[in-house]
Amino acid sequence: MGLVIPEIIKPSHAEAVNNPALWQEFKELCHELELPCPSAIWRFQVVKDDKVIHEHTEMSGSWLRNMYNWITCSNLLINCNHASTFGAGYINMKNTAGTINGSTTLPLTIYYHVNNDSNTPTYATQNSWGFRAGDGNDNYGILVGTDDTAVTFDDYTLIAQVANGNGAGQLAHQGMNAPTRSWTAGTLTFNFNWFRYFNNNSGGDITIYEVGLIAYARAVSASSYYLFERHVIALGLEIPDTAQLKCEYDIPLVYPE
Amino acid sequence: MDFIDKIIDTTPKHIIISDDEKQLFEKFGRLHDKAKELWQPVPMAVLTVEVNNPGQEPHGIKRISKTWVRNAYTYLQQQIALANYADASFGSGYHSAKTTAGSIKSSYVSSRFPSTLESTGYGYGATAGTATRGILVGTDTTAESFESYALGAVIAHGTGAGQMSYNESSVSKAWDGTPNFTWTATHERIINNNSGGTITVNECALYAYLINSFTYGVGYSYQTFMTNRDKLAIGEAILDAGQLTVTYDLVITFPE
Repeated sequence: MGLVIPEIIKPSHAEAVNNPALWQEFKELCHELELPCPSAIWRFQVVKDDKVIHEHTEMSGSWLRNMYNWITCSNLLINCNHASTFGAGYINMKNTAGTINGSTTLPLTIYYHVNNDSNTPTYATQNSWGFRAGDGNDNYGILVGTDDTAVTFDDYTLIAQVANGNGAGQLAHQGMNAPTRSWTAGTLTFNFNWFRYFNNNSGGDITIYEVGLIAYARAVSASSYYLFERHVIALGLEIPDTAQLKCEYDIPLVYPE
Repeated sequence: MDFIDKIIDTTPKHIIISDDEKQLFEKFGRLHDKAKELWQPVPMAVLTVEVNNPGQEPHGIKRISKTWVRNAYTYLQQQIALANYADASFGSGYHSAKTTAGSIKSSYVSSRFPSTLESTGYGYGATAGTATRGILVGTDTTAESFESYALGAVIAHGTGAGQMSYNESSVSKAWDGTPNFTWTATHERIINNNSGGTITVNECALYAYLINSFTYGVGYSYQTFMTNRDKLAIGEAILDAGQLTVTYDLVITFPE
């Protein structure tokens, strides 16, 4: 019998994200090389009749191609490279409706407005650029859904998004505040925290399996909604009728000093 | 070919990568692998300095730029969190940016890009003769500091004593697919010494020209922010009629 060489199986992304040793090695290398290594954490809490009936935290690790392309443009300070093909080797963005917005001569951008108008370059205005969606707005900000299909890097929309409302299968989406920022001197960590409340007045229980972070952005020439992060909650999250779900998204960055 | 092997193997022989740097490149490669597995966009930078002096063989160094300064950290976090600058102070625990002139940006965002970033008028680009943005060099030997917001002693543009002639910057980008999945932006600038004497370059930096503020009825104003400062281990003496080429390769690794 010949020698059997076992196939090297690469762990799935979900396994990698849930591997504390891998995160630790990643953070140690970042620290040693003095490089900024961002990360993100989801926190979920369900409250019913003024009692916390569930809460848990998960590492995110599911920034998508849209987010990567945005970070590449904005940090390497380069333009997009294609207007109509989305995928490996292309810098552009695909909106939640599946339309690709890109260019060969212009960069991606979030904030956009013509010069000399009354709009300041800010992400803090509700129902405007960035993540800060208003009351009842289910186009962007933190959104949730009921599909548990594994995340793929090219995801551009939640697969079964829960709509805003009080009807069957709907959740009432609350307005989002500007993110709070905090500094932890002991760990040299600066954190931004976004959160959103969802109230279940639907008359039935709703189980959430996916959560996403969607930006309202200009991309190149079209203002639209872009999924930056999609995360699947492995065990699901049951929101009983009359309960409230709070989804929090932390974006910590460890500084050298 | 592996990401790091490719960087090292494609470096011309006259560009030296020290043994210590090779060890750092190896760690750089491990971080690249982890970032790919965990889907974490880590901006990495490689600095190349090449000297062409009259009567000498070309020489130079390549190293990892470990010197993203505070501005670069806050800027990156702003782009991910989509959160405005908000603090009037600059330093530990504050979300702000400091211009190369020393003023603190305490509000708004730096990420409204009105036009191409691959030009000489915006981002890391600079026109010939511009010594206030893009890739710049200086003579200061002060050690790198995370709080740096400007070169210690930037060399002015010109042909007078102690001056160098800055050429127009260039930028290109390249995708390296399977198995590396990296985007690399190469920002480069050639700087000539026609001063009549030798000038020793001890530091180089990336200066980004970005939106700084907005005034109703006036429009946007732009300021310059330093994101990297590299103090060279050994200063590079650029002889009269010599030429210096500084290249920053900025890299982000994608999962696929």
